[in-house]
Order: sequence, then structure tokens, then C-alpha cells
Amino acid sequence: MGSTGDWHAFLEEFRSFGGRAENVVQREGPFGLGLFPINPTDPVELMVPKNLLVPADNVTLRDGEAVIQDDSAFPHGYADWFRRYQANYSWGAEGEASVTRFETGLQQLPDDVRGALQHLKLYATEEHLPATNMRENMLRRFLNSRCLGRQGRLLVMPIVELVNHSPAANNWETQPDGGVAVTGERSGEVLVKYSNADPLRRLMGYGFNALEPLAFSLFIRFVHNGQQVLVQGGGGRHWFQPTTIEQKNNTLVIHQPLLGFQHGRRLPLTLFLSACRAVPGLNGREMFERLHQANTEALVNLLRRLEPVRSDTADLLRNGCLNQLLALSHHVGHRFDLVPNLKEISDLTSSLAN
Amino acid sequence: MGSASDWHAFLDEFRTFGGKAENVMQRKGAFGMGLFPIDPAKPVDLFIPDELLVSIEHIELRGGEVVIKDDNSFPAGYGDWFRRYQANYSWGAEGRENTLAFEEGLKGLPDSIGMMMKRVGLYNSDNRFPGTDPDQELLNRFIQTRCINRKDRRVIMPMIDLLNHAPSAKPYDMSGDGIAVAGLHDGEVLVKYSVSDPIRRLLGYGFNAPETLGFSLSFRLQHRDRLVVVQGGGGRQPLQPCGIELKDDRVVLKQPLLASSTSPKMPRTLLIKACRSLEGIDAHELFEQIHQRNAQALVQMLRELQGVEGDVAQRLRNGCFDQLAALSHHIGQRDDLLAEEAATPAVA
Repeated sequence: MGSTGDWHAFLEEFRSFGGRAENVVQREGPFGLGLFPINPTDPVELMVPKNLLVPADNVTLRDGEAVIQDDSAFPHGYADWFRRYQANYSWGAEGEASVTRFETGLQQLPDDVRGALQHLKLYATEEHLPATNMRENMLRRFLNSRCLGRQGRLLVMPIVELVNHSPAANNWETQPDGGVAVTGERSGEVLVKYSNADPLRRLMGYGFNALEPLAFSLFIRFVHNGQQVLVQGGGGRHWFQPTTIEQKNNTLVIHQPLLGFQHGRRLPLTLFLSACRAVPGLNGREMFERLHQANTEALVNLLRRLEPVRSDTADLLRNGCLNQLLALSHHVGHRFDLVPNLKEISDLTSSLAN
Repeated sequence: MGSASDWHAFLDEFRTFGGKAENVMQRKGAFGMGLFPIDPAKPVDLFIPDELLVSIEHIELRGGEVVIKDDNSFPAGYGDWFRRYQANYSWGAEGRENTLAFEEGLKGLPDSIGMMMKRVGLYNSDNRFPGTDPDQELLNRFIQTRCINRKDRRVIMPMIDLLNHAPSAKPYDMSGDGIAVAGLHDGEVLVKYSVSDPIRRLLGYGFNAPETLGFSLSFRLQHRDRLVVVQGGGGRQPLQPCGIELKDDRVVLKQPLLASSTSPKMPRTLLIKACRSLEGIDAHELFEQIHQRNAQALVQMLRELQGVEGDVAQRLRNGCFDQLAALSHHIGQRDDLLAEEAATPAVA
């Protein structure tokens, strides 16, 4: 990270490619390095046009630096700017160090904790990562935590990705041309909601804890009333739509059910009951409670395993489990009127909040 | 604690008063001092007749020893035997020491944890162990962990109170003219002391146990347009609907059962039944609200306990884990029981 003068000169270059970065400065805040308004009474304006978004699979490591592999589709000089940007403000500033620290911390957890995390599909060990090179894998993990997903591709958003996450903030703004922006007045750090995720997945995906208002299920198998049940955990992209439930051979497969939502405590059961209508004879309320039980047991079990472990990563994980338990608790009642027909559920989510 | 021959001589004396203690010996086990069968292939037989039960108000400390205040109503020599029993096998063996360690550990927790436990009705050091008369307070605490209700009295049951607790064990046999525990035991002889949940077992007795039930903590919550006061705890008749009444504008809910691993459909069923007597309550939602508040309180307590060293903090963390696990055991409802009651005509 350079001086303030370097920063402003750097933004000038960014603007010359078509980007915008007004009234912001990078400095250390409560969430690590982040962007802050220079003058809080003026709006900040950050924008990366579509043509400056870099597909993550077009970013590689060259002599330890994160660079664009093929820069033919970008403005002249942008690839060099991108290399210096990564080196001074992103990957090289604290990105590599923080992602490596978190990954190393996970690797140093006791085998039983790592085994439990893998079993719940919260963590893939090094041997399951795509590249054989540790540093390359760290870059992939770093980029995954910084990218915007669009039409099946992950896109790096220079400058805009320096903004930290808050569950209470607004999402990225999508520009008419497909670019990405963050704008408006900010009295403190500029924050944005990266995505819809629950606390444990935010931690495992991004390396930090946040009090996310949503809770999805973990990956879990159990037997309920003689029926094998497989719950595919996770979720987030279409969290407001009913999960799908299907019978596959002898197993009931439940896809990414929403189990808790702080801002609409009736939504999780409402969505689940609606999905259950696809399976004749299934008692949706019982199954919903069984999912909660299985999740609680798994989290408590993980917390017990973490008890004797003393490390920063263990502390992060403990807090992640507690945040997840809290997020899971946000379900109260359901909307009787919506269960029979949830076609318009996405339009009605705001009215579901208690 | 004396030698094996002391133990057997002691049991012989107990038998002369009418008690039974066959095929058992005291030794250290997984739960501290406990009773074990001498020959696991043979049944153990422990029995104390009602006449040898000692009301707790008849017990006092004298020169550091636990004695019967006035032993006139007991067989001759029983008062002296009781004093030696307490000194060698109960209060003096490890009872006082364990009680003191636990109470001091609780008092030594950070204030924020103490306040939190007070707020949810789990622990109040001002009442429980104020420290103005530490010996008497410790004895009171010890007695609370060893006594039982018998014929409208709170009584101490010598010999039987040496048994340790397991949630899966049978309760005391109180069907006869005394209290008994008998049968084959291939390991430690264990008994289920009472109906409780993990966090209350810990705070009441000082040890962790994976109890099968979960009761609520105490708090107030807003349910629709009503203020609901939830009185936590419970245990005497867990499979009966909890009490519910309207006091001024408040709904008072007394000790609702929230979870049972052996009867997971009962907690919701019982709350629905209880709520039928009041209008304006959605029992399903209220049940889930109460669960939510319990989970929040336990998570908050675990957060406060993070980084707190010490054996009692560790036990409290484990108690919160056990309680969270216990509270997860509620699945569905018993429609048959709800329909049954709804169909029963009111008795004039």
C-alpha cells in the first residue's frame, strides 16, 4: 500500500480507463483495509465498467504477482495497471497474507475438526483444490472471495472489491452497461453486502465472521421415520424461492433449504412447507424441525470438538458456529395464506417480515 | 473414607438399624466417588426405611461435622452412625470440598455471566452463596444436591445418596416403606435423581449430564399484542401441560417443556393444550418464539464464556452445549392427543 499521493495518482489512471473512484481513500478499519469517504458529507462514487471487469480464470500468478493472463480484450495499459493494483492494494497488500493465514489455520486444526468440516461440506482440504501449487490455490481462494458472479463466471472488480462486507449494507449496484458500482453518502466505512450467505459459509468462504441474517442447512444425512434423508446444504442465490425436494431411489433429497431468516421469521417454514407439497405424505413441519435438530447437533458437536483448540482460526470457527446457531433460531410460524401458492413469493418477501 | 473392612463394618451397623446395603462398595469412578457392585453377576440391594430418613431441617453443622440436631426420634446409636457416615463417606469425604469448589468457581466467573444467569433465572449468587456464613451456606447447597421429597418432607437418605446420577438410569424405587435401589448392575450403580435439563442439572448439582429434556429459561417476550412472561425450569410432571394464566394483561407461562429426546412430539403438543385456555395465542408461534429466545440466551452465554479459564467455566460451556442439544429434540406434535382432548365434552 502506497502513500495517499500514490493512491490518488492510481485512481487517476483508473479513471483514464473509464472507471470512477470519487471521494474514497483506502485505510485500516475494523474489518482490515477498507475504503472510507474522504469527506463524509459528500457521496462516494465507485464504478467499474463492464469492460474493466476481469474474469477470474484470466488472472494468474506470474513471479508471485497477480496478473491478467491474456490482456488483448482490455484497454492498452490496463493490464499493467491491474498488476500494480493487485500488488499494492489487493493481493499484495494483505490479500495473500490473510487468505494464507486463514487457510494455514484451517490446516492446523485437529484432524477431527477438519474431518467434521469436510463431512459437513464446509471445507475442502488442500488435496481437493484445483491447482497443485499452494500459492495458486491461495490466489483462487482469494479471488473467489473478491469476485462478482455473473452468468456462471467470476469477475474481478478492481477498486470496487476493496470495499468490505456488511450484512446490513446494500448490494453492489449493477450499471446499465453491466458494470458494477457503489455510490451514496457514507458516514463511516464504505460497506456493501457481498452476497446472500449464512454465517458459517461467509466465514469459510471469506475468512471473516459476520452476523448474517440467513441460515441455510449444512450437508447432512439422517433417517427420519425410516426414510433416508439427504440434505444438500448451502444456498443463497435464490434464497427467497422454495427449496426443491425429490425422492431419488430410496432417499429424500432436500436442496439447500432456508432454515432461518432474521428479517422474515415466517419465511423459512413457509418456503419449506410449500416445497413439501411436491412429496405426497411428507409432514413438512416435522421434517423442518428434524432439519433444525440435525443442524443444531452438528454445530454443537463441532463446538465441542473445538473446545480444547487454542488458535485464532479456532476462535473464528467458534464464533462462526455461534453465529450460525443464532441465525438458525430465526424462524417463527409461517404464512398460512402463502403455503398453498407461492408463485408470487419473491414479490412478497418484504411483507413476510415480522 | 476408610478401608474396605471399615466400609463393611459400617454397613453392618446400618443393617442393624433396618437398612440394607448388599453387594456394594464405595470407590472412585467416572463420576467421582460412587457405589459399585462387589460381584456384578449378583444384584445389588440398597434400601433405607422411612424411619432412617432425616429431614433436612434436623441437620446441622457441629464442630465442622454434619449431625442430626435431635436424634430422639431415631434408633439408639443412629445419630452417631449418621455423624460418622457424613464424616467418612459423604460431606467429609468429598461433599464439602466439591461444593465449595463449584460455588467459588461460579462466583469467580465474570460479572457479565453472573448477571446473564441471574436474568434468565439460573443462578443468583446473592441468594445462593452470599458468603456471610460460608459453612452453613455450603451445607445448604450440599443438602440440596442430596435430598429428596418423601411424604411431604425434604429428606436425606444415607447410603442411597452415595449413588451417582445418570439420565438413562431408573429412578429411586419409592413404592414401599422406604427408598430402594436394587437389581443387576455391570458397572457403577447409577440412579436418575430427578427430572431436569442439562443446564439446571449442572447448576443444581455441579456436574454435566446429557439430560433428555429441555425446559425454558426465564424471560419476557412479546407475542402478537400480548406480553408473555415465561417462568423457566420444570421437572415434576414434565409430560403434563404447563400452567398458563392471565395476570393483569400478561400471560404467565409456567415452566414449559421445550424438548424431549424420548418423546419429541410431546413438547409442542403440551404447549398447544396449555394455550387452549387462552384466546389470542398462536401456540405454534409462541413455542417457536420461546425456542428462539432460549437459543439466543445460550449462544450469548457461550460468547461471554469464550476465553474464560477454569473448570467451572468449562462445565458451564458444556452445560450450554448440552442444553442446546437437548432443546433441539422437538419434532411435530401428537395429533391423536390433541384431537382426543378437543373431542372430550366439558365436565359440568
